Amino acid sequence: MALTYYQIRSLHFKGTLATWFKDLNKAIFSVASIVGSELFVIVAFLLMAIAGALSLLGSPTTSSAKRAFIILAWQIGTYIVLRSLREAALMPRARHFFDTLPVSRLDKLRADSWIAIRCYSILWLPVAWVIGSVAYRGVSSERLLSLLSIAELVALSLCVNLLMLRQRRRESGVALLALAVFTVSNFQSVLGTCAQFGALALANASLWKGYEYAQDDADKIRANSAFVERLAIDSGLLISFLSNELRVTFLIRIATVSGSLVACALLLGIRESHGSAIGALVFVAAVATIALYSLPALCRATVLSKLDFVAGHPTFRRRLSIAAFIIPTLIFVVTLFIAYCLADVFTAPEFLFRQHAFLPLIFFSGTYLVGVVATRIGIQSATWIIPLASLVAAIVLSGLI
Amino acid sequence: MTKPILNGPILTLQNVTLPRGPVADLSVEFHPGTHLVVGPNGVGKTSLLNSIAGTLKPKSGAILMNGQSIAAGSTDVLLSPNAPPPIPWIRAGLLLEFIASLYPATRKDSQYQKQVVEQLGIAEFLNTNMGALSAGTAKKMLLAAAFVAAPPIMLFDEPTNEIDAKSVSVIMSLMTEASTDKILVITTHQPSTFTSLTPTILRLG
Repeated sequence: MALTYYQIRSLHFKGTLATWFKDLNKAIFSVASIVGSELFVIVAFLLMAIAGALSLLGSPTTSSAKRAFIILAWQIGTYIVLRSLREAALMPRARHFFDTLPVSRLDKLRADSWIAIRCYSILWLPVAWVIGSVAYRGVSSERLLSLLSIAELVALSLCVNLLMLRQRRRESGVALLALAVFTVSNFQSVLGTCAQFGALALANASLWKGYEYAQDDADKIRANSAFVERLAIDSGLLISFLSNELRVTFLIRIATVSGSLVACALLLGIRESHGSAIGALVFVAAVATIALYSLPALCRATVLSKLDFVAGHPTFRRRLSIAAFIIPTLIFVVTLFIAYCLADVFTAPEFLFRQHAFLPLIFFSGTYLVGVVATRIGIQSATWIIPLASLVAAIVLSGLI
Repeated sequence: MTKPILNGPILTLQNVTLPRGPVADLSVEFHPGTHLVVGPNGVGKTSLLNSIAGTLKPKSGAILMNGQSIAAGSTDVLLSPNAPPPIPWIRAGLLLEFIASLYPATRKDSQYQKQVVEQLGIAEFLNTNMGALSAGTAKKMLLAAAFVAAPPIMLFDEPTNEIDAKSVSVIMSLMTEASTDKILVITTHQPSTFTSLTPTILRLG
């Protein structure tokens, strides 16, 4: 049976996600097993906070500033999610090809919308929570208006995100204007209600128009500043790859490391003790090692394979090798430094934190370097040895010190 | 046959067997001038260029420049590929600048670069993504990069495919100019296009 356009898009979505997470599955399992209940608590806390914020949206007691903040936070959060998953969700590289086929505008819009909705993933949990709590506490006009506000925000924000990711400047501007109208008006007055429904209609109309033409507006691109372009050239184009081809895998790793730092800060804030300080440092160092050790080899291999016609040039290889090592290593060092400073701040002066921190810092730095070298020379077993060694060391060092 | 130029680069292939295709034990010497490599599909024309450029290791034999082994990836060799690299997101001007930057010793000045870009009619596409360019324009971008970089050995993989007639004549004049002191090795299925360059012809297969 022939596949529909949506089924093709859906297959691409699943396949691309599987590819992106291929090298990270071990890291994610390792991190999850180290953090366990603490990670669960942090995620649950964040989701509850989002649910709480969304339930305030339609409340008459919510101030305009708070309402604007909630809308802005939702818009930015969902845009970041969709932007990170753009290649998987919107299949931009194959769009020129599909634009030549007789696929209707409605089918394209429907496929983009459904897959974007799937990308929101756990962001639906807070929305479901608010709906569930309304159903549990009984339906009232105020609660219905609250739900209506959330539904309208989700729909408006989806219009803005899709148009921005399609690089439709004019239509995105109109949808953003509609979102601004939604932000400043509320359901408490007839005029406000009309303005909100008008904003929704306007955003949907601009979304429909944004799918009118096959081609993007943005074939012409602006050159970056001379400094950035110089930097890109001196890095063997690695900087350009990191902001395009390797963007998702790079951002996932950065997000993993940043998440570990946030978890470290939260943990130290909740449980201020010497053991927690060392435990937090070990945890961040283990996560950073697991998330970053394979990045230099991945960067180098990707750029060399894409620019194979100059792959033999020694200047190119030198520039690329240096950049591919320096960028992830700098992130690794900065992460460890921040974790060290955080843990040091939360430790009582009589505890010899610096002395105790020395061993984990040396161990994980060494493991990171061994991982970098092993993946560079193509030792396949490094992809499980390094995460396993980091995991075991994290458990042992946390207990030992 | 083009006349060898004294003191210019000499590219020597000694008993080279390519890793792909039937070419085995190939011995040939290239002097400054234009050299066409012809033969049926799959015979190893592109593999030969890749081996000279250091991106593909020959099974056996040696590739020498002025009697010295061309270490994998010599700074004296540039390969202009048949198809643009699969990075459609890159700005065409940045790719051109990047390729030229790898050859600081021989790279032509910005005036020459501007002239080449204008002659080939690609100036207006420098701020366009490679993926949005037509096949011919993308190829002209890579050819422009090669002429600006201007290393002693220039390898062109089917350079006139997908190129319009006017631009082909511009490319011929740029190749004529370059071939006075450089070795140009060109793979092609239309040797007649290059007759004005009075090339030598190496038949494979």
